[in-house]
Amino acid sequence: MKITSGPSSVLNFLLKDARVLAGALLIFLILAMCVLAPILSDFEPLEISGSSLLEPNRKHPLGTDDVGHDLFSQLLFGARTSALVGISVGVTGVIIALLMGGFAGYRGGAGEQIVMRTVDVFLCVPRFPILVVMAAFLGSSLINVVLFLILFSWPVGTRLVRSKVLSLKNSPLIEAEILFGARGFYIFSRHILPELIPLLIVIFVLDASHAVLAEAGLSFLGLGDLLVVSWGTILHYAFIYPGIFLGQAWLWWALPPGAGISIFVLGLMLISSGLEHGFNPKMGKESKIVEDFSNYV
Amino acid sequence: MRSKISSSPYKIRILRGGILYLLTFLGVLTLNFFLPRAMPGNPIDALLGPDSQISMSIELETREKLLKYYQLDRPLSRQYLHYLAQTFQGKLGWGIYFQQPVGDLIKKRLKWSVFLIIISSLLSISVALPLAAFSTMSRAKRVDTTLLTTFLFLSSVPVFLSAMLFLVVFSVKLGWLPLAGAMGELAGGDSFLYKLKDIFVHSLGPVLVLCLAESPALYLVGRNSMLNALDQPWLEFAVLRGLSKTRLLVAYLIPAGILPVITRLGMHMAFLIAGTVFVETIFSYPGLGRLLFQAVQVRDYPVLQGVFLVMTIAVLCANFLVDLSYGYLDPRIGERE
Repeated sequence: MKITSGPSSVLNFLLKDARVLAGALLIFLILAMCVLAPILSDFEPLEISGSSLLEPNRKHPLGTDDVGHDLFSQLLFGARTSALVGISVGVTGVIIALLMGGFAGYRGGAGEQIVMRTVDVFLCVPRFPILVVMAAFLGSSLINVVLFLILFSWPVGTRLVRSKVLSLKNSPLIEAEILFGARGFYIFSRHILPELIPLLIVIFVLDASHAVLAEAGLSFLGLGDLLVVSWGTILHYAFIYPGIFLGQAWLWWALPPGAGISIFVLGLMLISSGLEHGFNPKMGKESKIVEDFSNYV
Repeated sequence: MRSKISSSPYKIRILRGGILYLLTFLGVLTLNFFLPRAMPGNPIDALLGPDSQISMSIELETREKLLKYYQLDRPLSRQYLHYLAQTFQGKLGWGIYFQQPVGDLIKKRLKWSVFLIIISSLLSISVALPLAAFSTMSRAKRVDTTLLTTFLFLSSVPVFLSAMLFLVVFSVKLGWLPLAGAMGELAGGDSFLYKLKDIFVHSLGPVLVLCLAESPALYLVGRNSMLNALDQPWLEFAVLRGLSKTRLLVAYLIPAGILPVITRLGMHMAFLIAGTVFVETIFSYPGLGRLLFQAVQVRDYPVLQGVFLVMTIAVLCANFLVDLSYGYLDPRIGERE
């Protein structure tokens, strides 16, 4: 089994693998939107900046919605919400997966049983409906949505980390180390953790992409934060506007946020599939992990 | 990831699965019980939603119904037992906005969702499996990479976007398909065949969009397992026997992909159900998913809870059915006692 790790080899993929490169470009585009949002747009996203339902013109590059919000500004600031949700859920998901999966795989015993059975239960519950119900009952502020997403995104990562740790633990290298008197924490931090890094990156990317999709889905259903602009919310208002599809308005109202979500998710998918291919070239057969993650919205 | 379990005998697997699903179901029931009580204020007010002050007369009547239904004057433990008893009898509460029992409401909608899910699953399998086999036969050639890239791309398009585009293009611009509903208004008096055609035409959009969302995952799984089969001695022998390409494909390669694909489909039930929420909402299809959307719009909490419960049951049943069917589809599992 060839395992590559370390920053230099990660950079090597970025330059070599076409998929990763394309994915990174798309993500860069989204991040540029986030950073440049206040510079590129002349209006605040929630400010009423013109009459309603304007067609695209010089002042409003994507026109306005039924209330008179500038859609271009909403699109740019919506990218921030998506990126924020994706990154925060991805980071937390990876940390929890590392702690829980590492603990379960490395220590074993009753603790492992408890963790893994909890994971099993969480994986049985249909995730999107439960997110809908929790957001409807407990409130759908952005922080709540992020917390709910974290609550239902750690189990898959935990399971993956645990099985990887288990297989590493039984490798001859670790066995030899134990014979030489190495201790638990030393082995874990020096020899198991570095091997986990590729997997953790993949988990981050996939957790993030699902969080982006799920947040957009919730907002699309009307379970978004009213104080925050999000691509899903734009789609929601576009969709409930009567006759939106009969005219041209959907072209600049519904299509851009929809395309934004797709680009974000596609970028993340490309990166993860490329990384996985690079980290584990023997598989060469497309992403076992991408499959495991595709159980989502 | 399930392969760990499959190494244990079939019966233990079933038993473990059964216990797991039962536990999950109880967990979801408990969550359902506590959610309205975790809302700020009186649960009745919370259940009635933000507009409850508008129609006082209806509210009083409903309030009494709710108070009796949830037994809110009793201690929490009694309320919980009462809730469990009611739910197991199939009594899911009273829809405040819809003004009818949640159970009846769900019964009316469920068939359409089941119909959509079954048809789109069958269609997804029959698209994904042959394409996966085709891909495997021409591994790493242009066809294979093109298919792979296309499916990876498709899997990142959110269902609500593809559904919207589909609706705009085929129903609005081209006018080939109806805009909304599951059957035409005037279909009542017409012949059986006409009705059938009507239902088919109305379901075409939702089914195709669901299939578009579902087939990438199935294709990936199918392709993976068929590539694994390529290294197996039984396939090598079949090739050495000089069997034709078609025969190899139909009799050897595709069967190798069926089992993993069906497993994936069972595990994917949650994904499909989430898909129906968007697809039915956008196509105004009268199924359970649209009911969830409507319940969210009007904040009809009992309906929301009922739909969620039924969706959970559907997912757990699908998983259990997959576990059960393993013994038949892969006889080796049953033998390992």
